[in-house]
Amino acid sequence: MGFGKAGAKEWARENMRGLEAVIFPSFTPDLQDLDEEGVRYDVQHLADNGFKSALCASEVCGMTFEERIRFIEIVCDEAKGKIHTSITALHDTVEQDIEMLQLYEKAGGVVVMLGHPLQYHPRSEEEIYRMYKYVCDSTNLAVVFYPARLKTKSLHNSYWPMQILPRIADISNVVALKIGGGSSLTFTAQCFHLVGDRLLVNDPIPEKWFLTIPKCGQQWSGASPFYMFQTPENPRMVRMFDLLVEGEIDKALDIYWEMEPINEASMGMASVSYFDTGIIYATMDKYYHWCNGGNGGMLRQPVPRLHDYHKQRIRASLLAGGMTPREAPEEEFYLGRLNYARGVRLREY
Amino acid sequence: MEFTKSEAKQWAKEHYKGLDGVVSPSFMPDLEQLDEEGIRHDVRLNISRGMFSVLCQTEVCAMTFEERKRFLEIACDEAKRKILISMFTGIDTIEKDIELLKHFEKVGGTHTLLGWPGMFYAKSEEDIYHATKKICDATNVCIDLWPKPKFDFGRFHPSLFNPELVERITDIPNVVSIKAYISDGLGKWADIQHRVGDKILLQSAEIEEWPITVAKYKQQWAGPADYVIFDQTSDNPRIVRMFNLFLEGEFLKAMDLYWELAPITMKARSAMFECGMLGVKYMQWLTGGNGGMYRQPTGVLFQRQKDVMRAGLKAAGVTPREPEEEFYVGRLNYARGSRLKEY
Repeated sequence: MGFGKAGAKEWARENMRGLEAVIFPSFTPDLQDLDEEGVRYDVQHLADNGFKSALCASEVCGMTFEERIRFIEIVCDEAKGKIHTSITALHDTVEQDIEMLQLYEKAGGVVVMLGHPLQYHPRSEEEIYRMYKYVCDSTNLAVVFYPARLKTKSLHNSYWPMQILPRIADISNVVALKIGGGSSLTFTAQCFHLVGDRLLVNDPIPEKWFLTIPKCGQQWSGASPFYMFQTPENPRMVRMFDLLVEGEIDKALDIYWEMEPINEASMGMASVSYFDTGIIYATMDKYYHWCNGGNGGMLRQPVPRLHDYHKQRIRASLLAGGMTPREAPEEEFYLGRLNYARGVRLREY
Repeated sequence: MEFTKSEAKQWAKEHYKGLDGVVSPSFMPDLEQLDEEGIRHDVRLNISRGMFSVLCQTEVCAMTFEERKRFLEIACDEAKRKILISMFTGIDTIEKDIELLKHFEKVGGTHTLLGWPGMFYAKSEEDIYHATKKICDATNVCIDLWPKPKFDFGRFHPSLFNPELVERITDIPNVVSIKAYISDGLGKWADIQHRVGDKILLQSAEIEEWPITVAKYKQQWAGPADYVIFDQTSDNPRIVRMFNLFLEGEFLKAMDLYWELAPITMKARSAMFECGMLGVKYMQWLTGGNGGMYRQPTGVLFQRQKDVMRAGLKAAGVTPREPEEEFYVGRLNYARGSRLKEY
């Protein structure tokens, strides 16, 4: 692990810098098994993009628990010596989350983005705190606190009871707080205000960085599909983040406006809002990634469908944002780039 | 099956009458296993509220293929000889869809709502036709075609699903009906109605469209949809009564019921759909269903949406169920003493 629980916060302050990107599973064309080579390809692609960490989002589509673990093991193995890893712990039950943390630790994991499972309905702030501490105490991993999918508006109008943030920040292995994309600016400001001195608070929405980096000292960003904005040849989102950290705001703004058509399209396109529903539009993110060099590959149900008009908008936004989306038959996206290269094709009927 | 493929259209005309409900999987509180009793409860609820059929929602959350099969077995067993039973087709691949359909037929399934799986990327309308025919030919159950925009065939026709292709598909002997909404495009609906309205059972599941589709076009069945949410008890199935009144030409009497139920139809259901299919499960629990959380990935239930659902039900004379914890573990588990764990 490289640090004890007491040293976790310090370790994080030294090591968690820059951008984290999300990685989704890839499957074989019959959707029966994980596509190990496709997953490894995407890990390498994230490293080549200059991201500092790859977050395994294994909850985004139908998988067995064993498959989720296997996906994480493949990512950890491929990432060794190239890029840090992290996982989401937002599964079905508290017990399943804990089991996943233990298995991830065994696979070499160091950081977890810990939220709240589905089968969980807290009735008081105290209960939220106790459960969170219980899970944190069960693991040696460095914990990124993630409040976004619980939605306890009955306890606080912001969606999260702010009063317990400082207590959660006091848990020794909680090292950071990732704000949910779609939260209000006020929520972000209050998180920095309450616990910014102890935790690496970060907002993953690039437009907010123009405030949070120079004014609040944000030094890293938790995962987002940042590869939709860049390629290994032109890692401009990474560069923009670094420029902001260095105080080069004018240069960062130039890059921001260059990328704006992509930002506008992706934020306006999701037929379901992640912040409101908790459902990640992973097929859209995967299509963006495929256009910019990722493996692609269809995900299992249940997952939002991707329509032609979505794809056309994605391509148009990439062109307007100065990029060249992949020119290959659409079929390649469905099968995954590596499978297609091996000659696999969609079946005909 | 009690009919051959060539008899399917006639059989459907005789047996599809009224409303087709929905049942989705229930799980044990640890979400590790299916909750057989919970599933049976929901099938019985649909029967008691006057549905002529119920659809198994096979796609709404993560399940293994074996669990999907088991879910169908349980629902079919409970529905046997009481009501017809349907399932959704169109999950991951054509091959697995066919395998699941064959199993469904073996355990007593009678019809299927047909969509297309995620790993089906048509390069032409001919592709769509051939894949559809392959599925239809592989089963003896009746096919209810669902030419919904979500299946992404808009590149072939501005209606997002070519009515001419719909007409061609309805020539397949066991294609007996179409689920099509006016809200998907009035032009598309009118085109389909013109082409095949006399040939198959065209129907809209949307209650707001019934004053036209049932009252004026004599649509004889509707669904699948969450129709059990409109009534608290089984002795006063207002939604079934309203449907029948429209069909019998008692337009104004039907409209009285329509406006009585409007707080659910127009307000509560909008909040419900904002929460995705988990919202449907929650709403069904509020009105007598088993409830129970789905596995990941699924939507989030917001307090504000729950409040709107409850308010809509109350305004329509339905008392929503308490306590909230029961929804998470499922009604039958809760009755057996199961509670959410405390930490």
